[in-house]
Amino acid sequence: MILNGKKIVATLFGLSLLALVFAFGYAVINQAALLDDTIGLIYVDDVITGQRRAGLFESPQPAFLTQLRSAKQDPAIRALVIRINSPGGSSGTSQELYQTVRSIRDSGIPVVVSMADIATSGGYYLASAADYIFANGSTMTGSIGVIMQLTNYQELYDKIGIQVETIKSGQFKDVGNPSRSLTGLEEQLLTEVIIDAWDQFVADVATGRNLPRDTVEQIADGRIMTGRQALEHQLIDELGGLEEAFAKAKELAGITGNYSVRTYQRRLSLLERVLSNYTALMNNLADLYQFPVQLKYQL
Amino acid sequence: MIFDLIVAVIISPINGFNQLRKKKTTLVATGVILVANIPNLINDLTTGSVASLLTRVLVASFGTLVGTILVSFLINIISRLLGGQGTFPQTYQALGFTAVPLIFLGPFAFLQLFFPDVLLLSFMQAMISLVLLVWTAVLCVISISITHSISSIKAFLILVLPPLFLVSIGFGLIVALRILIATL
Repeated sequence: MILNGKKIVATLFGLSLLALVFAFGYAVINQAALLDDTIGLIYVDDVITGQRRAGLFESPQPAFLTQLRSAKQDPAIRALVIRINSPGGSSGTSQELYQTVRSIRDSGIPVVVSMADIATSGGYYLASAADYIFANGSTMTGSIGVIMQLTNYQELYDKIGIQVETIKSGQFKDVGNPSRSLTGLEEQLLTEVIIDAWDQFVADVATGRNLPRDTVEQIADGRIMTGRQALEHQLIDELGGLEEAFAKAKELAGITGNYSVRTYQRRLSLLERVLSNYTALMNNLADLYQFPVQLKYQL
Repeated sequence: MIFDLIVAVIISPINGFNQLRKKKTTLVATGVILVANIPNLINDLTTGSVASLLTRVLVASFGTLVGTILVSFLINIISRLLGGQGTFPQTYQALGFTAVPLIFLGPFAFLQLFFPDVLLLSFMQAMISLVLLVWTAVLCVISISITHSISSIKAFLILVLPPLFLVSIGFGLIVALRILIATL
């Protein structure tokens, strides 16, 4: 009986050992992409932000920018598909994502974008850097423009008896102060800032889409449009989904046989999955305390 | 012979560690530590060339070995201070063999490769990992107790006190730092 028990344990141990060694070997070979041609896949499926998520419950997923850089440095990648489902976000990071996609494209790796439900503003900014853009007929896209929203709590502060004292080094240092209205000069200053950011947005879209600047300007009034309307305005290349995007990426990369798909999101443990929900809640709370003046390419 | 020793550690740890005490199996213990670390290596693998991946694996494995050597050194010193009689190599090889149960994670590491998004698999792996960690901790107590010929209670304290001490220091430092920042 004991001998049988020993045999069972020994067999289980031996099988576990074999499974472990095989899994390790397979993971190394797969990660080095020795099996097939590889197409990278990156999901941009959240608000674009440059904020780092710090703290004990740090978000385990690398930021979109980090994923793009990983793809760029990956020697196995023959083409890249970016699946966008984002209303946009902060202006600086959207612009950085655009530049990174451009650099991937310039390095000879074809980039194809597939828009899901929404790819507006900063989401479209990023998409415009790609070689080819697919959207579904009812995808919401466009919204080329810049927005800054300030909240004036002056009346509320007066009602509850809060007075904000400000000591500043220059007249514009507390621009966006929520305890008072904007002055005329401040409004002019912020408008100039917004127009400059909008100008860069339009110029980049024109470059990325290879369109005359005038053509882009005509629709860069912040309007949203469906995928079908975007096709009419040459903001996208074709109607289609993720499957079509992969087919196009395969074609552009000159892949004739099978290909494997590689994502750049780390596999999450159960604990990390549970904690990531908590992280999302904490980040939403943290967003309440952002600096009041923020430029956004966001719907 | 070595396989028998491993099976003895699994089925009858007291008998297994008693056998281990009389043998020189440092290399095998090193092998067990490295193999038991494979699930962590797989999770931390990122993309790259074969050469860069292997370099990363070697560096991570070396780090694990150095960590185990340091822990063994620390436990050996504390055990000797509390009247233990084992040597450093004996402590190292005994602690190395306590990682044997972690090899049973092999099938899960294998399945995770092909079904990475199945939540049930992640849940089962997390539960089994917890059981294996408890098992490993129990084996640690038994191995220290037998290797150094001391009571299980002493062995338990030797295992638990240093981490508790380090965590307390770390927690104290964080609290002090927060108070300092708040004061400034």
